[in-house]
Amino acid sequence: MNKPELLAPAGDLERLKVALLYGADAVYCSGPSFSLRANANNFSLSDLKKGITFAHKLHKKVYVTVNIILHNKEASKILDYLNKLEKIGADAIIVSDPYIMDLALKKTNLEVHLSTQQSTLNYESCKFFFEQGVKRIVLARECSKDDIKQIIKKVPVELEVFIHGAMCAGYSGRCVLSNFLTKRDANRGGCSQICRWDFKLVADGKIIETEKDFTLCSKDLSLLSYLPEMIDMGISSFKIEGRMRSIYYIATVVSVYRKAIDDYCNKGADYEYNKKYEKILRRCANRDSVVQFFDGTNDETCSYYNGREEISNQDFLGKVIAYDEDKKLATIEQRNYFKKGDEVEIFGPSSETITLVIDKIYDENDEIIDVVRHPKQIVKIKVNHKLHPYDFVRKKIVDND
Amino acid sequence: MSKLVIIPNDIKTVDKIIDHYILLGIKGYSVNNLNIELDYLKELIKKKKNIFITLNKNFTNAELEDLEKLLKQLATYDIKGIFYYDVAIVNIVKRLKLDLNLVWAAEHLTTNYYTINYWYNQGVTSTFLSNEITKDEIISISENTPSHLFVQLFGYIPMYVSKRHAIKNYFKHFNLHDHSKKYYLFKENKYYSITDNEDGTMIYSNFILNGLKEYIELKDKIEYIVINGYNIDSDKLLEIINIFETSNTQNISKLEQKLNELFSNLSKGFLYEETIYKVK
Repeated sequence: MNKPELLAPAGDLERLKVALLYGADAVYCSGPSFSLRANANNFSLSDLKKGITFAHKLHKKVYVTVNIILHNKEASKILDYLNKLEKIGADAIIVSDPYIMDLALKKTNLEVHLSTQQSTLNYESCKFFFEQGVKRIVLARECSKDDIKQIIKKVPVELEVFIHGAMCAGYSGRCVLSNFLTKRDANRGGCSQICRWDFKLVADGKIIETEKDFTLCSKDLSLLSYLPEMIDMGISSFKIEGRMRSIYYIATVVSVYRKAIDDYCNKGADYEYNKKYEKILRRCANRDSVVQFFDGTNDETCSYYNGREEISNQDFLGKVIAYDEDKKLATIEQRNYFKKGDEVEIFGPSSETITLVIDKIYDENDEIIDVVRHPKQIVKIKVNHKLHPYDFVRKKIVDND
Repeated sequence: MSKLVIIPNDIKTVDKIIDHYILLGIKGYSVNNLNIELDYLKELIKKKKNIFITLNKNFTNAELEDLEKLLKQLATYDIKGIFYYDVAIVNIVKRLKLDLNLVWAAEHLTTNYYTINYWYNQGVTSTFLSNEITKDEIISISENTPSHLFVQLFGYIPMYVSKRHAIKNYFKHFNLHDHSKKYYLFKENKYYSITDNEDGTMIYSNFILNGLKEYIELKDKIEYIVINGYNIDSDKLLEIINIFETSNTQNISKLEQKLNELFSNLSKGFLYEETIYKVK
């Protein structure tokens, strides 16, 4: 069996490092221009170069999104930008506009991946783009597993499939609600997520009264339970959505999928679905996740019609920034309130998750304190296991959570 | 000089606009249009020669075989062209070398002449321009492409297409039974027409785009001007067509006034207003 690539989002250099350290084989990120996350904290070219160097040292890859829909005035600047991406060693670009695809294929040596923004659902479209020279296609999130199987059978193009994260309510590229309701261009990086707004639904002139207003809002996607089947299908790349998500989210989601993929690839028939992974994923997201279109479902269970069931997540307690092996003290940068006596888990890219009860906490002046309540407060806690920068401390996730 | 292309709201309107170019969808293959049965199309082309067909759905694998059959059949009909969204259509038409004029009609993606020219080189000789570009961008495109251009200058604008059944699911979730004919989303005193049928959910703008004044400026630059009759009744649609056909620099103010009397929600859309690319 071929092990698929695990592809993670990277909103900035720190998240790029976290994603790769926690087990992603590749990351995708936005450079300074022409991306669909115009309002994210995108990479400068210099940071992008640093990220690519970091990734290549780990024998991993960086794909850069160049996936906006061009307008006349922007098009003349695109080749210069592509040349710069090639020069700094981007492993591929993810494009939506066929002009950019064509330009990159003819004028650069960049590998080209077709963005999900093209909403590619079928083998005829895949054939067209494959014959143009596209190496990989990010399929529409509306594809079912049967659709994907058939495309794999008929077209020798690499397929990238979303396995986790937020969903567009409409076909990607076919929703401009943001343009009309907020003047922000959805296809050029300005989507204001109107699909998450509430509306009154009016039927034949009368407002339909229900306990909750109408919304187009979709639940998130999680295909954890389908991983073995997806690996067997021969999908090339498993993609996690969320360039705007936190380092904790990225670390948690990537590490769970890394472990699940490795478990299945190592154990094969002996693989057993790990319910705790599901629990960890559920807790770190603040929204409900379902399988969506992958198993053919297209009904009310995929949508939030009962209000946004979003919970502010406070599991992430802190980030390890140093460890003193002699004193067995971990230096932690606080993210959420914790205190002496709390039972916590510490997980990291290169170690097993450990559970401990916080015993002693020291502040920056080495004074003993009982609670850590200030954002980004630097404290030290006693931990007997060796820790590393980018290990994370979270609340203990127990079976009845 | 532009030709007017009409998207009718209902079948009964079709006969009334028999002398005009008309854009129709085929049931099961099109969204955001008046969708007809193939048999009706066969009858229609006997008496009407200026028909464009739109097959602008996103197709799944399961639909491709029937799509191929349909395209083969349409290639034998006297129709002016096929509007498409899904690139599958380009691939099928090229592979089978079908004698069909293709119109790239990817709604919101047809925004620049570089990409239009890319498709032109692929054999797609016409383009239906996005409604989210400005008049200046339209003119710039017309000056830089050999593609035959279609521009909507009147009517409601499609904003959203989804595979999901938003209304049906909402009713099911809340155990509601409703058989209304027309639905709207209502927010901040604006109404947005929403439909949910076998092809999914579609939402339209709250306003009617009115580009009558711009029509006078563009009619020598753009080959086809589209009047979208969606949600506009037959009599009013005929009146709009008449207004466009008789408009000139002398009577424009009078005709604008007439349109304002007919509709209270006219707008210039994005003809003079660029959408924001970056917020910060």
